[in-house]
Amino acid sequence: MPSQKNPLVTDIVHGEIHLTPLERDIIRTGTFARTANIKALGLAYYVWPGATHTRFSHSVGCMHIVGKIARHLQLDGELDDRDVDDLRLAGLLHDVGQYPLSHVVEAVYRQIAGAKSEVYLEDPSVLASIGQQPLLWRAAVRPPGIDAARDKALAQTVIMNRRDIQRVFKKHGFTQDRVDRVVAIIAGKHLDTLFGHLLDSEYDCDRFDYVLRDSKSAGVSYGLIELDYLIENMTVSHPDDGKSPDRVLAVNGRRALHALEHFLMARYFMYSQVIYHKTVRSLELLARAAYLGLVEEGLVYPDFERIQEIVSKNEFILFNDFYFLEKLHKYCRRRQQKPELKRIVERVLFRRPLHFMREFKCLAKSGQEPPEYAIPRNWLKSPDNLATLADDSGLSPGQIVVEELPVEMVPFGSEIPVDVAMRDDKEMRRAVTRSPRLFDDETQKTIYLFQDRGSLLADLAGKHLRLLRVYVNSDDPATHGQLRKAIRTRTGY
Amino acid sequence: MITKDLVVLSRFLAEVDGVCFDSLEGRIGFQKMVYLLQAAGIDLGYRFDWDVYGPYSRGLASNSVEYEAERERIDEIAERARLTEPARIACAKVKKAIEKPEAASRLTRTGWMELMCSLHFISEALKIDLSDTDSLASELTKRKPFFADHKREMEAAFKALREIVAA
Repeated sequence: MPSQKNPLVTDIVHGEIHLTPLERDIIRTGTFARTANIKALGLAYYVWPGATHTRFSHSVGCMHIVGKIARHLQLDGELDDRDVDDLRLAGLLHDVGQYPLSHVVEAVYRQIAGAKSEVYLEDPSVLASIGQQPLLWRAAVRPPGIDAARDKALAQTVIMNRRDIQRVFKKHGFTQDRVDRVVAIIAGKHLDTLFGHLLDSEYDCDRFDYVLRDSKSAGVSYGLIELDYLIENMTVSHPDDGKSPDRVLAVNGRRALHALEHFLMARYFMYSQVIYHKTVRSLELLARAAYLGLVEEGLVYPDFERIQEIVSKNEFILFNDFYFLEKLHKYCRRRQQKPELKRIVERVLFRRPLHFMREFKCLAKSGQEPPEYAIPRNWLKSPDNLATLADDSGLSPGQIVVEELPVEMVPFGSEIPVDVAMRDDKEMRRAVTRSPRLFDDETQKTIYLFQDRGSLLADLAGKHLRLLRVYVNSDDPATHGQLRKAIRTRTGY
Repeated sequence: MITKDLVVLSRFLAEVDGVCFDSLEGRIGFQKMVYLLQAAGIDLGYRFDWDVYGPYSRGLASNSVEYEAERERIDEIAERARLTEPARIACAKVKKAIEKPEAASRLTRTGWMELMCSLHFISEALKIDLSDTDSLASELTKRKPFFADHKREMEAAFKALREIVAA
């Protein structure tokens, strides 16, 4: 745990942050420096000019926040000095496995990892039609829930295999047991659930820092959350009315309910307004399509396994945003180019987003979307219908791209829908373990936020903001008018 | 949109036991079934975190939403696919394991699956061999005391797990 005498860095969000000598030396490694060349919000800076902050500052911020929470819990005797140090280190290192442009490139590798499960089929050709769609269509698919290629999985390999990191551990007498523990915390495999919740739950150090940092950098005010007040009101509770030995994080509901709600709303607005901004999404969709095309051309690392192989080499340090941009530049200069890919690559490099045609929007529970959303959504999902639209507007089907984005109003980290979860029975509570909890210091009971009758958000729980957007990869204004008209005529909306 | 991993997942689920998302038990069983398939050596790409009620994959939870949305079309393609022999053998092992044995009659089916998955997760996380049943039982009951008086069920779970992980 750092003292006031320790070295410090100055951060745009948190001010002065003191570091232990071990943390300082980690930050000085090439491995950690790599995160300074990975923008936290991908290509959002094309729309929000200030959003150029990196995984480097975010990681330092996470370390600082988890340290503050841990020290607060230490006052109640829930954690000791070693726990605080290990949690800070886990916060600092949690993003060392991030990909170029953060989740933009990660999504491509997750898609590739997902497709690999076809090895379990005797005749994978039954899946052939799935991989033959236009690049932009495939890029618009939400990445599968596959975890194999996630940045967290890469972070484990990085921490265990990068010599500069290992040298720092050795220099400071940080034992292998402690390293394993830090890796387990990051990977969600620590057998004390409190550690997992501090690093990865619906109100963890990662989310607190990115809401504060992203909004500050983007220049929007949503992220002005009362973090110190929330931390002061955090406590550890035990599920099943205190009977379970598991420890989970809760917030004093009588004092900090609205501060917690404010944070959840801030996160919701950050997604709906900044991260899912129509032009940001359009550019990121193009970037994903470009990278997918480069993978198929054999011009970038083909898969997660290959990236793992280069982790211990110096070329891994260069696997950052510049790697992505350099590959795009190189492609532009190539003699042999695929026209479809060339157009996509140029759109990314020259900041020429796809043209935005229509947005359908609703706030509803799953399966309860109103007709004005559900009808066009179901119609636009069909590739045959996109071909009809293309015919109507003088385009080819691959030029029309449809993307659907759900933004959860009150995130639950749940394996069941929230309307099922809201039934007040014991079984339902088993499935929503990382949802925000409130502790009542008078009754000594812990409930979920969505069970609190005084909560503004309880009524919104389970609802998603659904955004369905149609873009076109054509600069001809005549086709835009025709396409808009065709969407209205064909869908009836 | 349909993705290859969802079609393959659908094929595996059909081979093991099918899946029903209408009930809570079905949803929890879905997570545990995929966990056990991976324990049997089928790498479907999911990583499970330790949570209050045992191993849990948020990635899988999110994929289940996608799966439900397109289930009819996904299942239709999956029906035309056939698993390789090693994959079918793994499915058969998991299918057998999730059939609750007589020794576990005091547990619900979900409870039985949770017991097996939790023991396996602890064994991997703490690097304790599955043959060291005393240590594993002790680690489990530290975290899930309600299993303390389920010695018979634990023995049955160890037996089932050893069959699942056997090459």
